[in-house]
Amino acid sequence: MNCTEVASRLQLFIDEELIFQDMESIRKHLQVCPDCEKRFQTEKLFKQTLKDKIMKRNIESHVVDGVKDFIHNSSN
Amino acid sequence: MKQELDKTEKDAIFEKEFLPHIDSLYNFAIFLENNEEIAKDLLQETYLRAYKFINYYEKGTNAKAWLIRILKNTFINEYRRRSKLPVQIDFEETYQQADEDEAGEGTTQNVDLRQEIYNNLVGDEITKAVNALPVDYRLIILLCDVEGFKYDEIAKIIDVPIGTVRSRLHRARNMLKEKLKDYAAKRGYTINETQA
Repeated sequence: MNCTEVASRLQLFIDEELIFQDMESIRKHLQVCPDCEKRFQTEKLFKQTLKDKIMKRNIESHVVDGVKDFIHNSSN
Repeated sequence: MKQELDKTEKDAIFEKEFLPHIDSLYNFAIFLENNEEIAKDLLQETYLRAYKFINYYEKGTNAKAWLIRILKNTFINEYRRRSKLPVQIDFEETYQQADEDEAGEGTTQNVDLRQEIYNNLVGDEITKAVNALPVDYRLIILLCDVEGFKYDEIAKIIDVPIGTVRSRLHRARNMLKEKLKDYAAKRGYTINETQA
């Protein structure tokens, strides 16, 4: 694969949505192409940053109890 | 396929397979609604529907995906009712894009930011940027990048072809990067934007 082909498939490569042969072709290309490797690392960091840094809240126990009560009352 | 379950079996599935995902569902609801109190109502309604239709759930399959699908449908119905508009307001443009990308991997334009910018973004900025996306783009970012669902699972959850998942995700990520670029610029970072 050349750089243009790799660039067009990078999202699918990072999401592991390509067939095995294409995954391997891109891995080989990244080993010998510093520009594509840099782009790959940046895109991978973007995905990882989202997962790691997006703010999540822990549900409070009274909300869980509220859901259970709501179902109990609605389904009886 | 519909199965007949008695109350004990229903309660067991609910406790063992549905409730463990309530944290994720709660966060999904907050991201969709942008309002904690309305999100709690959405969460309740989702779990009530899940319980009502539990006969259609195949025990031991992907309960989280099944619940998120119910949550998404409940949200869309409520959103449609509140806005009194057809639901497709955010979708038309996306379907056009999906058609363009349907044939292949074909992404044409990427927004690239430097690695140091990602390293220096804080959670609050990322959360605000995600919240600022139109709801269908927000949803796909959450499903793929936060929850880690595969494209075929996402396609089932949001009822679109895989080609649409691919193109919508590409657009959502680019839109998000544009918003993050604004935050980075406010912090004084130089932006490097290229085309692929």
